[in-house]
Amino acid sequence: MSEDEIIQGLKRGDERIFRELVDRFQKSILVLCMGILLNREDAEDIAQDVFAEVFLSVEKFRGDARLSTWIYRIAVNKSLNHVRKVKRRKWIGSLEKLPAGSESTGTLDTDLGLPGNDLEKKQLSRKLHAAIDSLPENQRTAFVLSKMEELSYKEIADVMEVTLPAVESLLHRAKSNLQKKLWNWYKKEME
Amino acid sequence: MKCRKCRDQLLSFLEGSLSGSELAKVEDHLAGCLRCRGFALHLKEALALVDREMVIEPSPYFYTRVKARLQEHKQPERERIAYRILQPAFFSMLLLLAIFTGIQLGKMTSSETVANETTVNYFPWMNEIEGEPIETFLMKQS
Repeated sequence: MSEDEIIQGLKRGDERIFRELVDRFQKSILVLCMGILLNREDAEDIAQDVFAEVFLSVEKFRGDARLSTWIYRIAVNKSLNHVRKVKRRKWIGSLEKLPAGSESTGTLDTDLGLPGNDLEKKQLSRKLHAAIDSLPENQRTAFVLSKMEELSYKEIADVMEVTLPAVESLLHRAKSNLQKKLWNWYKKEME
Repeated sequence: MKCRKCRDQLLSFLEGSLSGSELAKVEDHLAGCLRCRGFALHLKEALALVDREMVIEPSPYFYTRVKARLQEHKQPERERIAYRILQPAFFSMLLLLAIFTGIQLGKMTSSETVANETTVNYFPWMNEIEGEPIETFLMKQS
């Protein structure tokens, strides 16, 4: 089914076509949300919200970009809004509850579904999540779209509504920041 | 190639996006530097973890939940529309009722006043105050 047929079907409120759209995009949208939110439950929640919004606001889709780009854009915006909301809540919570000097864990999952006895991997996973979580929003989004969604630079630029050189720069800085964080941890472990 | 420069390129190296000469330089450095090789392995493991953890499968109830979410979105919309129409209608009705009651009460009060005046004017003998005072009455009796 072509993209145009899907859009027309959605505009008619055709449920069969909506189901096909969900089936086609659910995994990639879920992975994208997971990459930004770093929490499975939140990712599922936001991904469901993304599809509901697609169905309800398809009339607003002007067709300037591809349908997938539009859906990715909605997912990125919703995920980033959620990250901001969680961070704001945690910040307020930290002012009220946490003792001075406590470090916020951001949106990290403590149980990542890894085998319970694999402590080393769990630690590495936590470090990696913390490193991704510490990236600025736009670097994190570019990294997730590139690494997990395997989008081209052009596609990332379309989703993020930035230029190609901006995408290159964001990805370079994201990788560099991740490497630095992981290197610092690695160095400490080796000492 | 220095360690720092090698580390900066490790992610690209592991992703396989380095060009020929750069790739050769990184490979040469890793072959001779134990520390950087160790870090490269650490990074490789971390990237593998990203693939393993982040690439999750949607739950089998995903579509059902999306449908439920759609209902949630639609419900408040309907409620909002109903609220937008019904609230002004309710207050308009209330206002009209208040005006009507006011008019009716006004009418009743004025007709009562007229009736009172009529009673006083037409039946003066019924008004005991304006009639014979009690003192006069008692004097007459005595």
